[in-house]
Amino acid sequence: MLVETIFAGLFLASIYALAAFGLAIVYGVLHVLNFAHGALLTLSAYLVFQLVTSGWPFWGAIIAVTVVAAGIGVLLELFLFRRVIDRPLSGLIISIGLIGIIDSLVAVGWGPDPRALPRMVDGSMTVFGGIIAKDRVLVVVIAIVGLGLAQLAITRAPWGKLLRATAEDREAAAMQGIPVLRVRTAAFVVGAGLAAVAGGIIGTTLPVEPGLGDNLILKAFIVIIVGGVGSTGGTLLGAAVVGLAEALSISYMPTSTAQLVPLAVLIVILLTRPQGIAGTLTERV
Amino acid sequence: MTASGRLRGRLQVEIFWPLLLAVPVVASGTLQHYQWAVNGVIWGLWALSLNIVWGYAGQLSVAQLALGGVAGYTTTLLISLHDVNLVLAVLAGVGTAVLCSLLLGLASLRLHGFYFTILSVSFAAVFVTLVTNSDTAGRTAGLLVDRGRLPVVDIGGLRWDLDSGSGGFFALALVVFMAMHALAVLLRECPAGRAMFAVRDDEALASSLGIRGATIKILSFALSAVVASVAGILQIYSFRLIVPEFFSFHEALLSLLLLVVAGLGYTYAPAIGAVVYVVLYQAAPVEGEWRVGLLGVFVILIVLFFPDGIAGGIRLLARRASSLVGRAARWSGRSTARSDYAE
Repeated sequence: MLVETIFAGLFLASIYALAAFGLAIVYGVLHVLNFAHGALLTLSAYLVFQLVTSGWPFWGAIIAVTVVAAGIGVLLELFLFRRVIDRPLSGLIISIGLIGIIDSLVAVGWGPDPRALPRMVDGSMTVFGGIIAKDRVLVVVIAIVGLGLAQLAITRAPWGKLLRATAEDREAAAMQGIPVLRVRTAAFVVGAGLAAVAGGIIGTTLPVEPGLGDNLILKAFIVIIVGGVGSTGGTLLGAAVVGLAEALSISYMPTSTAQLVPLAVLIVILLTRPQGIAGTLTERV
Repeated sequence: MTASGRLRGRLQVEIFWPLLLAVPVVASGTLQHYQWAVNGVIWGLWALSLNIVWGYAGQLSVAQLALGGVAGYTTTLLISLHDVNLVLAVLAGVGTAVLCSLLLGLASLRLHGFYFTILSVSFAAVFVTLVTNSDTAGRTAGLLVDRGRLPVVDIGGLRWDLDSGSGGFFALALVVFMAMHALAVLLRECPAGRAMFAVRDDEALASSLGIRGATIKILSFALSAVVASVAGILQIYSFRLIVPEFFSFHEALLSLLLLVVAGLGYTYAPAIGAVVYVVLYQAAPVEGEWRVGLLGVFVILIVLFFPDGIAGGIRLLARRASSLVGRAARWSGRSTARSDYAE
């Protein structure tokens, strides 16, 4: 029972981390609360579903949709978000407007009924006496390896340093000769691409339905704050904390109380340590 | 005219102009148009509540609808479980919402900007989760609201049936809106309201002028909670139903969009927001699924081209027009001067 619970926690953590990672990069660099990240994730899940049902291989569909989403990301950044570069509030409003547009597209294209992507692998396996589904194990592995590599790139690779420098102080970065506008666009593209990958992978284990991204975006914000805003490593840590807390509470509490646990974690963190578990205080909170 | 007389005249215009918007509704008088207008008024009130706490005092709270929900559920449950008198139940509902808003206000003293907004999101989420999982509150199916309890008022022989779908309920909604709108306009003119703007623009500077930021913020939350309660109670009486969905995150985002499109911080904004809602959400000849997308496109265009929303845009255009008129007047004045000279 405990093994299954802990694995369920890891699984939730992986899903939240997948949903939150791109969001954390975009908030870090653009300082835009991109509420549309969840909508983009939903749209991507539907697009992957569409391609897979018309005969594409799963990974081919993921790659194609990621490229499309990254393209959409470029357009959004160049034509919308860049125009309000000094008005983060307008950026927020634009992202909420985008939710409306994407919601409409999804509603018109696929209707309200949930769809399902085929599982990546079938069957289950036994670990320490607990029975867990193989496809969920694969999701956890993909999240750990994929996001681990992404985190490594952000902290070690040269372009990761550009990203972090721009996130920390745009003007200082520009004075050092960093092309901050291009870094912004890159961050948005990476964010949109990650939303697409997350949508495709999450869609294999959760039902693809219009509310998919909405539910995840709230959890993603919780994860980002719990971990610490401005640190992608913190986001991964936050996902682990929230996912495990949620899985444990679902196992040992009535569902109605368990649903409140992630929110309770968030409120406690906000009121006692607003910079998050791993965060350092770089801005006034 | 004296300066204070001019100010009074300007305030009267500012307070009473939304009544003009009611004229076409009453002139048409169809049940559908009354229903549209009632919905518009309700969304105008949500925007008004948000305008006080966000537009005036600078605290972006996504929990306003949840506060309205607190008032709505309290009122409904007091009436259905304890058979409390309607007026008392409404007062208790408003009171409970104000108490909850004080919690939010206290949190806003510790957290700023993005962090406070996310806290307000989680406050709303806690509320929606609680009522969705409560058998007393009817879970997702919600509770029925008995509109038959609305009385028939007799004003000097004029029978005003508050429950009536053909104007009576709309009149009630309109009276409530006008009262809240007048409150908001007057608030802006009084010291407390000015202090809110000062705290919004620069809290440190405001406190150096002796303004107590904490008190002012909490006051803005309490006042906005009163408006939100009224909106929530009107909404449930309009639909004769209370469900958690009314107060969800999505709906809260809609109220936020309406306010920003109309013009954050302007007293004109809530009434304009009501019109935007009716036009885009009720009257627009598009399929239901496209409505939210249409609003999205509209919002993005407004934000890109009129950062201060419709109210700000109108002001800008009015200023340009008046400067054009002024230039034209100067130009024609110059030409007459020249002709004088020629003579």
